[in-house]
Amino acid sequence: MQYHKIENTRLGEVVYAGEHKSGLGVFVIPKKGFYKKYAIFGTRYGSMDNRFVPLGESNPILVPDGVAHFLEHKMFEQPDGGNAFDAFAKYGANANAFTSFTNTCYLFSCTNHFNENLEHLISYVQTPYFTEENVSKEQGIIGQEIRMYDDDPQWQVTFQLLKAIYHNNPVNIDIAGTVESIAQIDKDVLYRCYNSFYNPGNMVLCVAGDVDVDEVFAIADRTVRADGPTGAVKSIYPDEPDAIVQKRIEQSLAVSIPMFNIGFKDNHLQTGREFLKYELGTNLLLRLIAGHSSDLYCNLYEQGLVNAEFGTDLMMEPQYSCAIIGGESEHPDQVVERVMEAISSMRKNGIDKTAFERAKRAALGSFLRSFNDVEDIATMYCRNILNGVDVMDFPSVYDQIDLGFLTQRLQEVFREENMAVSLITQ
Amino acid sequence: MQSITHICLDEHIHLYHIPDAKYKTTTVSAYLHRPLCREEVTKNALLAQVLRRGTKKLSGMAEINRYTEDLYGTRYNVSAAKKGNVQSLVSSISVLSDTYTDRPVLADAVGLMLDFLFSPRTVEGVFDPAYVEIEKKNLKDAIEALVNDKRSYATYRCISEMCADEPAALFEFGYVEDLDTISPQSLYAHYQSIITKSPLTIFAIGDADVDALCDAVRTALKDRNFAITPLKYTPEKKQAGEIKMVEEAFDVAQGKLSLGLRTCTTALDPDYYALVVANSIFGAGAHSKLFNNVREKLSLCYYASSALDKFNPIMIVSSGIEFENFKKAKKEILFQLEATKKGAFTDEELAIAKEYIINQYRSYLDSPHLMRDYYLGCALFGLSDTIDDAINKIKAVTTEDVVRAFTKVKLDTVYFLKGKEDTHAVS
Repeated sequence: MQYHKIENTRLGEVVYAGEHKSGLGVFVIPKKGFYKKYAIFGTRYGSMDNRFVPLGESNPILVPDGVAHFLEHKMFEQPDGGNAFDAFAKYGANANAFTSFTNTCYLFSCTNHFNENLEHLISYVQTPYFTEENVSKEQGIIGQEIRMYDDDPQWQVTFQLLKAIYHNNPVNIDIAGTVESIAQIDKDVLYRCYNSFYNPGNMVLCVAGDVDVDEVFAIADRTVRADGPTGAVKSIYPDEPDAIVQKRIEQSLAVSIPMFNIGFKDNHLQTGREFLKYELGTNLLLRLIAGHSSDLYCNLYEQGLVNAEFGTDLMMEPQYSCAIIGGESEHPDQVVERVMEAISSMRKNGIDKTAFERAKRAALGSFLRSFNDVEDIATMYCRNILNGVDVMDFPSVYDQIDLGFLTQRLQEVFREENMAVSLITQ
Repeated sequence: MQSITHICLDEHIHLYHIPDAKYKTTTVSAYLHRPLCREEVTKNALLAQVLRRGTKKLSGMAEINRYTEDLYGTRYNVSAAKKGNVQSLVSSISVLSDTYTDRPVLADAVGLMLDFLFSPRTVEGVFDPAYVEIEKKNLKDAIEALVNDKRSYATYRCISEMCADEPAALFEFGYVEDLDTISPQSLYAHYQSIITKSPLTIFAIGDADVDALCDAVRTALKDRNFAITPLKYTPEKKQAGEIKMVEEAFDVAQGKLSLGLRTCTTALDPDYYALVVANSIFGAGAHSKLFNNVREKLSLCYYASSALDKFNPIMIVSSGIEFENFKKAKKEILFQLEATKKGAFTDEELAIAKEYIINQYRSYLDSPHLMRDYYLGCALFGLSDTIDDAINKIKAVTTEDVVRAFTKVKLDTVYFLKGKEDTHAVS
């Protein structure tokens, strides 16, 4: 396949991008001097895609919760009765996979036999093998994965928040589903989902490391299949009201201290270059409101109301967006009140210019830092390409971010009526 | 392979530089080494947290965090970490390399890193009482927070039951009951008593001017008279006695099983590499016997794995299971342990286990953090194997070596974190 070079001198990075005849996007980020080579093969298919029009059909179907994640587990099953981990192990690779609300990705890292491992990655993800027996075996394993998350307060505090914020958006459904929903999964539904979402036109391959660029494209050329129907799959997401569901949600777990997440529902969803701008801008705003150099954090810390676990998070994808300020506190209600006061004061008095410039400088450092690690680079690239974003646009988008944009985001996202609190108590 | 420059500033003050220009950052860390012991462990953990709060130049958190944001989001930390019988006070920064910044920032960041250790904020000759008070509370929170991650909690509880009086069991954050006895005065006295008596190791990884770095260190130390007490380490190799059973009930959805085993082998022993390969065959990775049998064949769990402690002769197996599967899971884990001991693995399993370890070692070369950690262990305990040497020794391990090393591994403690309603007996 033909590919072209995208160079960004400010980042000191180069990307080679090409499109396979099947529609698969292939991206290679060469990193001289690194020993580790990393590849990630991802599809635009996550736990949220539970209602969709199968490729080549015209009517939507609804599948049980947790299918995307179940499918990820089952992709490791091979027709010869073996397991996809076997060949990776033989070639010294460390392989894994993950499912998010919006994507499923298969990956490996290795320091040897890269070409063999890459061929294997592409091949096994294109070789589904589901039987009644291997599906039922997985129900026990995933059941334990679900139980593990049931006891994980960090995950629960975030996931409960999404339930308080979203009425209908399927981001309010747990990625792995429930023990009951996965009991309804059979091999036919797995094939149905696989045949739609795992077509190369809906996927992307990203490689980072000290690799031979020509060779990567040549391997993709000879390994990626182009014989089936291909293209983006139409997922149907229900209409979501702008309002939140409930102000407060509480769950009790065996924890040493209450944990809280304060979430702000953001109804201004974006794709492509705008997505990058909104993501960067909102993260800067979170840093200005509640980052470790903010008056809010420093005062709460000095007063013993929060500890160093206090922090911010932005769950933003083209399908949903939620800005989060969270941490641990013996007095979470007081913290919520103080956070809202700080936001209201910022809305009234404007954003401090010096703090803005400082935050921007720190954000640049943090972005450049992600190029230190081949796994981070390829993972970041893969997620962004699946969202229609080119990471190499970062410097130019960064330059566009000004106080006016942050003020707009402050007004539209950080509002009392968009806010919900999730609490984990003892 | 990367080159390492070793500079000896004093008999017990060493600086190592790994000048790898592939990173966009430079990481510099200073370690003050203390003997890991019950008397000091809480004090050192608290000291790290108080030192992080302010220096003579930057007296509080807001100033420090704004200063580091201006240095392109320089990351810093002061912590107390343990390795073998050593607890180190570590001050560390990671800063964008001067190649990518409008103005040089490395020297400022290194200055801050050294100030945390050698020029802390004081009020009337002791640590700021307000900082000490808050950090005592935060340390208490951190110690108690162990229970929030049930997998780590089960591992820690298993080790503490197995190794009661050994360094492996000492919790690096210390103990809540010690906190009441610590005052700003006593903590400062402790600081003064250790600051000139502890061996110092400095690591710089990435682009850095070593001469300037050495000068900065010399300047930070210049008014102090060092009388350093070197550390010695001879890991005690206890044999497993009668198997100890411990269970604890929590309001949880999943049971956590932890098995504590004594290995009689650490990185200071010739059998270490054989043990690492054996552990890989048995329980580390998706190729291992635990993954393929406890998870894949019997569907008992999502994770089942074993881990070694490089500088303590112990191994921990952990798994998350349904409460009622306790006996079944334990039986299968022990069955696989015995199988590995008997050499019931193929040449291919051996080769795969080695490839897995070699890939891990080579991956260290891409991580400032892992490189530092590896060579810190070497420097502390007098080990001379480079990463290349380690890889060659892994390659040389035979089936006989694996069997010999694993035969010494004995079950000592079984810990089970069960549900409140669970009535299944452990034994």
